[in-house]
Amino acid sequence: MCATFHPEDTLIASCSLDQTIRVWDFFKLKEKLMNKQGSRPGEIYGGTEVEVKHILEGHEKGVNWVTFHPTMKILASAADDKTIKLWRLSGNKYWQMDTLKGHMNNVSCVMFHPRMELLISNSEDRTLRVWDMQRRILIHTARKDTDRYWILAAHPTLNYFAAGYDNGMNVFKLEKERLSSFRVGSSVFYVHDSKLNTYDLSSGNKSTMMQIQTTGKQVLLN
Amino acid sequence: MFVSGGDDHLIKVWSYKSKKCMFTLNGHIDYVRTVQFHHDLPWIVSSSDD
Repeated sequence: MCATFHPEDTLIASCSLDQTIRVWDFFKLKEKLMNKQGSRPGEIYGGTEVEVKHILEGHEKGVNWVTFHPTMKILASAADDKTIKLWRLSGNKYWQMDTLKGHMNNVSCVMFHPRMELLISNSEDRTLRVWDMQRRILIHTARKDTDRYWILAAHPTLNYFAAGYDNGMNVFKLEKERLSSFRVGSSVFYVHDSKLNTYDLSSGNKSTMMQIQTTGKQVLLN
Repeated sequence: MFVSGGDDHLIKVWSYKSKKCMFTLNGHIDYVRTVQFHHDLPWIVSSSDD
């Protein structure tokens, strides 16, 4: 149901209604094409140059989406068995790291946040969910009344995301971009790195008042 | 540039500056599910119901 290039290596991950995810290596194909200039346009590649390197089995129904982590050797997959699975490459084999349960219907798409330890998924259950990658727990759910979600995309550098559903698309941001702050007289109180700080406007002195305990990353969907 | 794949079995490469289709790639014989550019090489990977 999906095929995607690895962000750096000569790998492609694909997933299928046959319940498997396959990781393919096209190194030989790349070598061949680099040595041979001007290959025929429209030539269909494949055959023996692209090999299946890993077969990942574990989903109990068809797999709709697979994605590589931007930097770590981790894959995430979304399937009709209502789960998201995380797979880690260790040694020369992908191992199932975890299964994220919560969606009530086929999971359409899953995406790693390009810069934060978050996973974003959406589903035919009409929800979009945000998961904490470290604790592997659900931290936010956004719900539609009637439309099923199908796809997700992230802006490569800016804090913008898009989610496609039956009748349209949402564009949203995760996390506040401005610091929460307030001012009393010449003192500005603001929160940064989970610490409450003060900044004195007249003297320019900065100090940390206290560590703020949070139960999780605050995530806002606009 | 961006690339799209459709239920018409076609892959199309579009320019968002000119808002026009630059190339149409055929070869798939069923719905195209996903398409993606390679980050470096001039390649597209596509997946289809065929």
